[in-house]
Amino acid sequence: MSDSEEAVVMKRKKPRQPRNPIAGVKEDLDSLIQKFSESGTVRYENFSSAWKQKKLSMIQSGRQDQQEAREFLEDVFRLAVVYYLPPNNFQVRTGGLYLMFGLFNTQFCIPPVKFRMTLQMWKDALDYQKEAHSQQHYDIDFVFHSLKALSAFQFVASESEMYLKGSNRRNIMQDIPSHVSDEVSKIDAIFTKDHVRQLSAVDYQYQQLKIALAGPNAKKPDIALAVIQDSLIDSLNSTIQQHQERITKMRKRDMGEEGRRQEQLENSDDEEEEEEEDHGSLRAKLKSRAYSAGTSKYKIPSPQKTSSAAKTETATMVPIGLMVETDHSEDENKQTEYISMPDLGTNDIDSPKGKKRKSSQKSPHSPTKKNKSPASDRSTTKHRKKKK
Amino acid sequence: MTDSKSDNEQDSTNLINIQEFLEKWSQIEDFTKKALEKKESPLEQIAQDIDLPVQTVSDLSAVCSLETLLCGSEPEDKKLYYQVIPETDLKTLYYQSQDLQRRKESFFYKNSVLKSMKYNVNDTVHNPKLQNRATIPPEKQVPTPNVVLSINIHRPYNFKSTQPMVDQKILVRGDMFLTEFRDAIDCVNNLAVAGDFSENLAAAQVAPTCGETFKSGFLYIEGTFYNDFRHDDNRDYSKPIIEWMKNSNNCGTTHKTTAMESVRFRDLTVKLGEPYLYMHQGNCEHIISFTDVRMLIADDPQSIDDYPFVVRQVSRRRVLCRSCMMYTARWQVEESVFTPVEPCYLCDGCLTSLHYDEDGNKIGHFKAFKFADTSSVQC
Repeated sequence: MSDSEEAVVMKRKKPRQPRNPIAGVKEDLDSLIQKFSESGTVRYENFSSAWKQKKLSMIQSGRQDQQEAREFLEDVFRLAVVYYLPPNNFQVRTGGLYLMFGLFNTQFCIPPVKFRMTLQMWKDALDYQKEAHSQQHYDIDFVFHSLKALSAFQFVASESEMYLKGSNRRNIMQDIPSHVSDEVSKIDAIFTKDHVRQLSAVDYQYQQLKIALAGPNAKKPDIALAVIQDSLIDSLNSTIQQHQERITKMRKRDMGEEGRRQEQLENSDDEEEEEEEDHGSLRAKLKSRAYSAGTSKYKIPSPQKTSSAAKTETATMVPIGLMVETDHSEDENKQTEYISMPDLGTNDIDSPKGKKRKSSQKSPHSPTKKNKSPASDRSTTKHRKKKK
Repeated sequence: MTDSKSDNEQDSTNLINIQEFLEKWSQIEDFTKKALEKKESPLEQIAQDIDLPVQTVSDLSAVCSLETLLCGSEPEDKKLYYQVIPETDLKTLYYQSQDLQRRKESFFYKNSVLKSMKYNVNDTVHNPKLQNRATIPPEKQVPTPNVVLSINIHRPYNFKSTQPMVDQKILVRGDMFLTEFRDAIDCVNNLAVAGDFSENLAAAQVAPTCGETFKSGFLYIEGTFYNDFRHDDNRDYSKPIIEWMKNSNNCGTTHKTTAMESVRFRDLTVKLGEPYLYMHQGNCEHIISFTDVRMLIADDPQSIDDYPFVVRQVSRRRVLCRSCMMYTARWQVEESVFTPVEPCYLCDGCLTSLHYDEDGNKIGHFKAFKFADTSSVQC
């Protein structure tokens, strides 16, 4: 138990997902291209009106200085070029070209950020231009050649600059904050539907083989051959299902709490965004509550959390090490940990919990202890232990 | 040549033969002198490319002018772009404003964001001046078609961080020899002077530096050691390494030694993002990596004097003098009774005033070594 708890503590110390400077860009560009595609024609005027409506020339505002704007624009340009290339249809590719034109002309980095074209990308671009020229779309021609004249293209070997191992940029296609996207936990990655199906097929074959071995008229396999669990696949499925249900319940509950706290937010996007920020503040609040004077303050959240934690710990057959794959389950455990730590009152500095406590909050520890009445602490501790 | 996976999923690209890269691009696009010269009026250029009369092209340019892209709410002063986030329905701006709010609230978050940014405000960045090729005398013009490689030079490996930090970023051309690149790498060890100069401080100014004395070095790229044999007394640092690798059974690749001064960049076959090594002065190692290979276009520096072009020089912390905390330290003092720590870094003035009397005689027993701070190499 202590080993897995230590593992929980260590895993919690993993750094957060790094900031994504191009959060939301893909959505904006997608909506622009969609608007342009809906108009049906490939004339520049339509694109210009869609662009103006979305006010995309302001996309780089808010960046604090040239360096941040540059970093931002490099990734945005990489995203924009994708629309210009196959396998998009002609309409979308035209929208992509106009988009590149718009982005290049409204940027103000010095020297200007350029579009990186690999050999294959340039060949595709030239094919597209040939097609457009043959259909006499003069505005497409003009836009492309003016970009070329402004030397907006760099002819490169790799799509982005390659830095040393580990410092290459994160995947720019994923631009939504990580907690909003459906994270595939390791359990789900191992036990995908395909794998489970294959497993059940193998299991069925195995059972049939055993029955065949038992004799020509046998319906059940020989008892001597019973070496594995009988209904393996069923129990596996039920375990995974319970785990998933638990995860979704915890997520819903966490998101619901945040929503109640932030009633002035309008969109659901805001809620999800606030959730990430509020995790930090939630933890901070709990920390301050746990270490502030007075016992009643941190008794209140504990019964709810410990009961749910108790439920989660007993309900599933999944070992605790696997349980902490998602952020929310970590929070769950973490909240209980914080509340129970001062109660147990370990003065042992060498224990991992003691060390952690010592480094995080040095001074408030002793006053807290003095203020509490020892009898009440021990009673709550015992009470909680009994529950577990 | 290009990869099937996106570059973000790989640590480094496959092998890229620079000469092949150059030839393939030259076949489908024009990179010769004619194309690199900036025309006076781009409209004529465009008219030529599309095969339309100039009048039509100028009408088209009116259709696709900058006004069509501005939505009217742009601030006049460009600096306001950075500070003010206007009210739009763009998701990007929403997330950015959230991020800025968070930075305002938490000092630690702001610091971590600034640390993790790709470009640092404090770096010295040199941007190539946009010069018309015609203004450069023909013997100084860059030969075309040509390739530009961008090389990152890293700081010495620090075991605390996970990867080496970039120190410099240099642009080189395909037709340059490796030795020209080697000379452009600034290493503070080249300025180091060996020996104790406490008896005669002035002699340290004229003593030969390590860079002048120990001129050997090699570049290790893709299994080949490119040694610098320009001077007669340069040693082959790679010989003991190759012998050791032959004797140990684990090494599969065969290693070769070549002279650096006979190899041009376009003869190389490199992997982008792969760490390579530059070694000099016996044991001073620098990790280098090729970040980018691209064709030379009009916006790159057009004069051969500009290369190797130092694009970015990361700011280096300087070591201050311990006593005045104002000037950069020039001396490393050891075994002195006057200094609180050993070794102690002092500037010229503090050293002479602390350790020498009015007549310039040395007081006590100490050793003074000339100290070259990393920021003293030219940026």
